[in-house]
Amino acid sequence: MEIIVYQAQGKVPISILTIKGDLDGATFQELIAKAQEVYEGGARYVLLDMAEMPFMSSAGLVALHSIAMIMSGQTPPNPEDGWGAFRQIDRDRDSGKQRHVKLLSPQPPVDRALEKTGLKQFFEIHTDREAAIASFE
Amino acid sequence: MIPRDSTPLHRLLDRHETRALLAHFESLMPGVELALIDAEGKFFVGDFAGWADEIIIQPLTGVQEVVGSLAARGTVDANILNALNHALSMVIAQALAKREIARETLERYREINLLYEIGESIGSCLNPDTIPGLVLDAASGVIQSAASMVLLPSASGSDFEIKAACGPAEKVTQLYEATCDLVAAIFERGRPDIVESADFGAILCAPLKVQERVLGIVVLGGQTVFTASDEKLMMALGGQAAIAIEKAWLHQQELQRQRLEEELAVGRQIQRSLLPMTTPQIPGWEFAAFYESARQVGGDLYDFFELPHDRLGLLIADVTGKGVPAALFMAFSRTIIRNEAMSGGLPAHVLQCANDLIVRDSRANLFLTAFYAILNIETGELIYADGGHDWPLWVHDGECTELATQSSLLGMFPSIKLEERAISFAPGDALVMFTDGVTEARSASGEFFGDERLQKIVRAHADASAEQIASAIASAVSEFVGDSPQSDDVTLVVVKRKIS
Repeated sequence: MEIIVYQAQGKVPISILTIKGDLDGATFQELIAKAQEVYEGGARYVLLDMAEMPFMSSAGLVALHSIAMIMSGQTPPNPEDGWGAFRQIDRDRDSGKQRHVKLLSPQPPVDRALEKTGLKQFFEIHTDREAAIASFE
Repeated sequence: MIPRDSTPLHRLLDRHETRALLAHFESLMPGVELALIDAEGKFFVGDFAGWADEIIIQPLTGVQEVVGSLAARGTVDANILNALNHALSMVIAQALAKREIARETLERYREINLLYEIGESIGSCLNPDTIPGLVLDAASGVIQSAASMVLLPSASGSDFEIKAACGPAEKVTQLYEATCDLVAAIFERGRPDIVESADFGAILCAPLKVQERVLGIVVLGGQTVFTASDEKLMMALGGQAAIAIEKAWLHQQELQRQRLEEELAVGRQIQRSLLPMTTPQIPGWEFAAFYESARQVGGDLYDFFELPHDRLGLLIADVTGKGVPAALFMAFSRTIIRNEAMSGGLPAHVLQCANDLIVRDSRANLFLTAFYAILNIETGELIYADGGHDWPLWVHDGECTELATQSSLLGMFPSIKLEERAISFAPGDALVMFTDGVTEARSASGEFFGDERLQKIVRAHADASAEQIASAIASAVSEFVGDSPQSDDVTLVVVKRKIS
């Protein structure tokens, strides 16, 4: 997997993380680390571009959740660390979706995984890059 | 190294015999007095009181080291005096040679003794972090240095880290900075070197080497020069140290492997203890289950539980994560779901309540997917809800349909709303529940087993028994994966209503 970071300017500054390759048990921590890195660089809004991501395993779900936590200013607990503090993502009260992390162009197998696991209820999904950028506020 | 100051004459010549020798030569030259003066100018044999007369002083020739001079007073026969000088020099040269042999023997003894001691102390050390310190302790016992250090390649391999150092901190820093390039070169070459240095008299740099593999470098910054013998000694020391370091590394790897194996075993044990020992035996129905754990347990679970009013609870679940944490989280989740289910709630309610409890209590970044259904064994009605799990397949009239619902992963978000649906299980129908270990099984070429392949097999075995369907899928997956390592647990549960 390769991750490319672009910066875009909508109503707020947005970091676009383009994921090239599978997001699975072997790569999900790399994506979390990259998100942590851009967060530390000041990023608060992330668009995950999944157009070139053919597959996402359940480990990918953990990555999406962790990134949503990171961007909302929380520390995702590490399962290896045992029982640390754990808080849930602060979802927007109206839409039920969180505002910091959105997904762009998930491919059919990934879209299916997002559907099955109910993550579509929590992550806004866009197919148009410009519209996705404009949607962050 | 033994300091090589001028050797005192009394260590080379017997005073009594020398006196006799000089007396003999005096008898050959009447009126002449002879004496032997040591390197410091003191009389060793004879004494010229007053020094009033003219005295001839000859250095002892034929001896490289200045050990003393021959002195004569009176009318000297030069030939005789030269003969005496020659004789004395020969005796001294022999004595010096003997001393040199003794000195070398002593050095050899020290080296052997040092190597023996190192073998004892370093060889019995199983902690790779303490060996470099022991090496410097040993080196300081035989070679004097102003600063010394042992360097090993850093984890990234791009530079070297000081693992042990001896001497004042600023000297060590100076030595480290002065030898960056030298260390890299010696590490590459595997042979020791002695170089001159502005800050140190000389720097001795030797590899810690096992056979042809260089594991690290020992560097000594001396106040004076180093000899070839010092270099040899450091090579021997480095060899001992390298063997010990490698042994300690292997030991640690072995310990780590054992710990990992233990963890894997614990994970599998927890997992196994959660799975039912048997499948339900209910007239008119068939139940089959297949479970195969990956090397590192993936946290799959299935369960059957009897509910009041001829109903049976069916559960399949999968934790996102691996190993002991996943197995423990699965045990925790299973208890919660079972408790909710036993209280008689419908599937969506059970999973939603379980979700709230898991979200509230779970402090690890672990989630689970679960499919829960209640089967009325009298009517065949199956009510189900899905907590983000792979949709099971329903075989009805030879058709294979996914039991798709509005679902959501459990443990990630509070207050989820799950959809609840029902189907009527007709005689001849089958239900295939599975985990992503089935569809995400990968072939050697990296291809996924996938939903289509699974559905094709299920359709082809629509009329088969529950047991046959489960084993057909399991063997197809195993054949598809081939020799590539199985990365996730594979779990299958098949329910079949018999044609009465």
